[in-house]
Amino acid sequence: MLKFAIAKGRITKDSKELLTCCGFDMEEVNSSRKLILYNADETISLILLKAGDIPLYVANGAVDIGLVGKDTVLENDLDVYELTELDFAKCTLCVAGPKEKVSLKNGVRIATKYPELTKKFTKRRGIVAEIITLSGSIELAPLIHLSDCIVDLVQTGETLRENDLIVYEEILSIAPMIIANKVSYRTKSSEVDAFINICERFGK
Amino acid sequence: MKNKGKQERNLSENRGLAFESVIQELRKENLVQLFTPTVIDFSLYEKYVHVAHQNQIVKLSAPNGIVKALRYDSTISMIASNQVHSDDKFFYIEPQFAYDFDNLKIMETTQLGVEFIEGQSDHISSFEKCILLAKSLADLLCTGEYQIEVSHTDLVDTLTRDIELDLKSTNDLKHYISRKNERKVLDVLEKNQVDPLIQNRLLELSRIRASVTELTSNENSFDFPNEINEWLSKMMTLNLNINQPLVIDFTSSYRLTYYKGNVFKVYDMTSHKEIISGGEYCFKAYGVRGCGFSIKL
Repeated sequence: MLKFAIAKGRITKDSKELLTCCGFDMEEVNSSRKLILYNADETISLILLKAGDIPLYVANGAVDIGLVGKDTVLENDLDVYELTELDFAKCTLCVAGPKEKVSLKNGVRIATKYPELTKKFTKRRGIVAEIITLSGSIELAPLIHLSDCIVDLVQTGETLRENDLIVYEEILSIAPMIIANKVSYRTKSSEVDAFINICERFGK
Repeated sequence: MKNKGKQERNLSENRGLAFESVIQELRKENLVQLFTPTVIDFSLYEKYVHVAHQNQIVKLSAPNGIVKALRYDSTISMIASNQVHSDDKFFYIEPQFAYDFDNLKIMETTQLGVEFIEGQSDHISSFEKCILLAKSLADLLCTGEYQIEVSHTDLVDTLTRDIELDLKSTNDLKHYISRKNERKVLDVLEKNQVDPLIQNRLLELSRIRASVTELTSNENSFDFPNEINEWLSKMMTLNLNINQPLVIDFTSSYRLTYYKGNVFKVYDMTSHKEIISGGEYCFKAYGVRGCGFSIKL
């Protein structure tokens, strides 16, 4: 049986066609409080996890494959295979801040949920920045002067606009990614390949 | 609850039995057991430890004033320790922590390391000894089928050598090949305007995971560089000598950066676990060359 991890929430909603095609009952997926569900022929078990934990479960072999945002994979940088990206729920990792643009220079304070990606960005730009790691409501940070700007995911830009923030710079495009445990890739290769074929058909 | 306790005891007993049978097999092959922890000259050790972590090392002062460091086992410290030079094949046992998701707890697992240190012997013979021994241990540890996969640390360099890229693009390309991220591999190649024929060839070669018999057969349609053909030929000889099918993966990456040369892994196809991992190494600083592997028990 292939163990497949997915995060509850936005990705699950966008993945419903994929999950239906894999034989999962979406009513059960949406309404059940169970964290492990099975498809109709019990060839795939669906494990519902916190998004940030998926790469760890995959890297350690507790699950064989995971569907998780590229932002989470790159931020954690764990030892997994990145088999494919899907073409839905796309967004962009951006630097954003107040409309009176803050210049990105040495000493700038950047609030983010992605300290590693932000560090790589500032290193590429040659900026020494103070990176403030938050777990949520990142847009609030520059509004109450915790930071000068933020690095966060932007999809439609609505949240930024509503908080009088603008995008300064796009860093990276983000999409859901299928990652695989390196051992499962080998020992369950036919199941993994079959699953990837389904994903690539429905992700486009 | 009672059943769970019984299951835990069975798992522990089975692991204990497997461990004992492996130790017996190693002694039968005349490998000497070296014991941990070891004491190593701090001056030899400090270059391998990040400066931020050096204050965590337990240091001792020897009567002659030399600073020694206390370490649990590792390939580097075992080779550098005085005990090593009197033996050319040995094993040691090193505790490490791992997550046991089946039993929902963190557990201390035992990793067993085996080393064959070379004198003037031909480089391939230690690798063959290692794989032969790993094969006999896999026979003890696996209830069903297992797979031996071989690769070489220089293969990705060989595959990408003729593609002219700047340093950053080369490093990105190798990184994405090792992550099997084909989309990003193509992005790097397209961004650098690499010929589409070369792009397709690289992707085709990096996807290969096949038996050495298939790859060296006359029906094989792959156009490999000469070095890869020569290496495949050696692997075919090894395949015949050890009487075990070998699977080739050109882009298998190994996190231990001190491996240099042939590397291998053994996968238990029933439990879906990697059980043995190893390869050749050369520590010029110590004048030591060898081949070793570790087993998670």
